Order: sequence, then C-alpha cells, then structure tokens
Amino acid sequence: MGIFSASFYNYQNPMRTPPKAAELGMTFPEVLVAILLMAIFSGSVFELNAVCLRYIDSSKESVAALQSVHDRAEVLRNLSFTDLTTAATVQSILATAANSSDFCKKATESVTIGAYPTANGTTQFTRTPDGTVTLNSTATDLGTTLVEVDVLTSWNMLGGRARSEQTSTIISNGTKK
Amino acid sequence: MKLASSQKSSGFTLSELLVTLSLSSVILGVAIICGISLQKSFNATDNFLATHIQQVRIIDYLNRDVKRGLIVTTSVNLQSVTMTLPSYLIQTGDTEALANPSLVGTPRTPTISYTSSGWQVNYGASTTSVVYSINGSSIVRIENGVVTTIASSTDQLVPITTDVDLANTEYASTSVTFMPIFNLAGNTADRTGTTLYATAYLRNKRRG
Repeated sequence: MGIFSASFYNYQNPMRTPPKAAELGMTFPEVLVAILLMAIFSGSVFELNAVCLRYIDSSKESVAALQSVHDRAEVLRNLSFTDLTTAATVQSILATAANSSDFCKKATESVTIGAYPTANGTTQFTRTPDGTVTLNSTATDLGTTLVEVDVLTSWNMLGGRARSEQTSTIISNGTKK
Repeated sequence: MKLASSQKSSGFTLSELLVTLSLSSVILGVAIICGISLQKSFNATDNFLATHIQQVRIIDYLNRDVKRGLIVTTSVNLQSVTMTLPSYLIQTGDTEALANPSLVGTPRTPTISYTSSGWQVNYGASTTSVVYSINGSSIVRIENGVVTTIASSTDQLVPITTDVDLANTEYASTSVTFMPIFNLAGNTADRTGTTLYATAYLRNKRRG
C-alpha cells in the first residue's frame, strides 16, 4: 500500500495500525466547532457589556425626558393666562429648548392646550429637534379660567425603539404669586 | 495480520503537553479577565445608576425649596444656594402660637395684600433659611442650622445652580454632574456626559 495510504483510515482493513498521535491534526469540523465556541463565548461577553451600556443609556434618557417635560411645564405654568392662551406667544416660547441637555436636541416635543374641564378644541404645537415649532391646531375657545396643558416628548432609542414621556397640568387664571 | 498497537501505550509527547498547557493557560486567562471585566462593568453600571438617582434626589429637593421660596441666591462659584422660605407652619413663639399654643405645627393662614407691583400672598413676617452646599463628598441641606445630607457619593457630585431674576418672579436652573468610575483621567467630557438639567420657578412673588 505504501507510505501514502498509511495516513488515511483504511476501510477495507480496519485492523490496520492507526496513525500515531503525532500524526493526528485537528479535523476541519473540530476547528469549526472550536471557533464557534470561542465566538459564542466572546459574543456573550461583548453582549453583556453592551447590555450594561444600553441600560445606562436608557436610564439617562428616561430621566432626561422626565426633566424635559417638567421644565417645559414650569415655563408654561409661569406664563400669564393671556400669554398661555395666545398661540403666537406659546409658539415663540417653544422655539427655545426645554433645557440645555443633549436629549432635547434629539427629542420631538408636543404641547397641547385645552379648556378645562370641558375642552372646546385644543391648541397643539409640535417642536422638532431642530427647533422648528409648528402650530398643528387652534382651539375654538380656551376659556378664561382653567386650561389643561399636556406636554409630550418623544424620541427614538438606540436601535430605533420609540419612547415617550408625558405630563399634564391644570393652570388657572389669576394672581399666582 | 498484526493487531493495531494499543492506545494506552501512546501517551502525549512533552511538546504536546506544553502546547496544550500553554493554550489552556491562555484560554483560562482570557476567561478570568473577561469575568473580572464583566464584574467591573456591572459594578460601574450599578454605581452609575445609583449616583444618577442621587442626582434626581438633589434636583427634587432643590426644586421643591425653590418653588416654595421668596428669595433664591447663589454663591459666586454657583455651588451653594441660599433660599429664604416663608414659615408655612406656625412655630413656637409666633403670635398665633402665643394666642393659642395648640396651633403650633399647623399651617399658617396666608393673607393677600396689594403692593406697588401687584397682589401678593403673605405668610407672616418670620422666614426660614435653607442653604444647599457641598460638604466633602456629600450634598447637604441646612434649614435653620439643621443639617440634612441629601446625597452622598464618592463620584464627586457637583450641583451648579444659576438664579435668574424676572419682573416679579425668579427661576433657578440647576445642572448636576458627577465623575463616573470609568473615566479617561478625569477629563471634563466624562463629567459632561452625566449632566442632568432642571429648572424651577418661584411660586411666590420674588421678594429680593
């Protein structure tokens, strides 16, 4: 049979001397399995680390969103009732971001004002991340005593998941100081 | 026909053992390093979120007092805030308490008066002083000399408050930062990435 065939398993003669250990390399499937196991292990480590980072990012965004809607509500609440019920004034105020955070530079804000407790149409504004404010609708009548102000901020998380945060407040006419 | 030699008689060569040991050591070392790194990552995440919550607590405390305040002033370095609050509750020694001691601790009935700048709500002449400042690694609130630690962290929490006077009101813009465990030699950018912003307006008419 010669030296050449000695390195192969002989199916016709299974009693033949098996190759020595030193001659045994790793087979291709063995290498693939080893690489696969290492890849799974490495992938798990990286993924766990990425989950930690995403968790922090998500938490930071949630808190920043909460502060953003609170800050916007604070500004609107401090307006005189006349200014609050004048669309042009509110539109002008919304041009400025709720606060200086990076979050406000990527979130879309929506403010809805309606008479309370019974709305007669609502005045709604949308502020895009670039600071453009659009008047979407105008209330038929906002009344002269109470309005409900809804502030909604929405954004996309890393990975594209849509998220939002909202707050509502009732603001009255009259002296607040 | 000769039988195949027994596997038992064919052991590993020294070089095979050395290579195996080397590879095993490398793999074990990598696994240990990965484990330690993951543990550090988890600790850093846990620490970051814990400090993040402390930021929220500082903002909550500060904004609550700003909203109740009559006057808000900040120090030159913006890290200390002093507020004057009305005494919303009747205290021992107040006129109402002298007339009726059982009123101590109950809410004071406000009065409304007209001033040159419009109507204002009054809660009596006595006021309460509240100061927020940094004391070591803690943020403390001092109300009439009573110290309360509202946040404590080794992550160098720093609140910066700016007060802005308006016609008859005032607002305080606060940003709180800290230095996370994983940072690049304490670069400013590491701190900037942790900033939490908040704004609060006085509910009372500004008196100062």
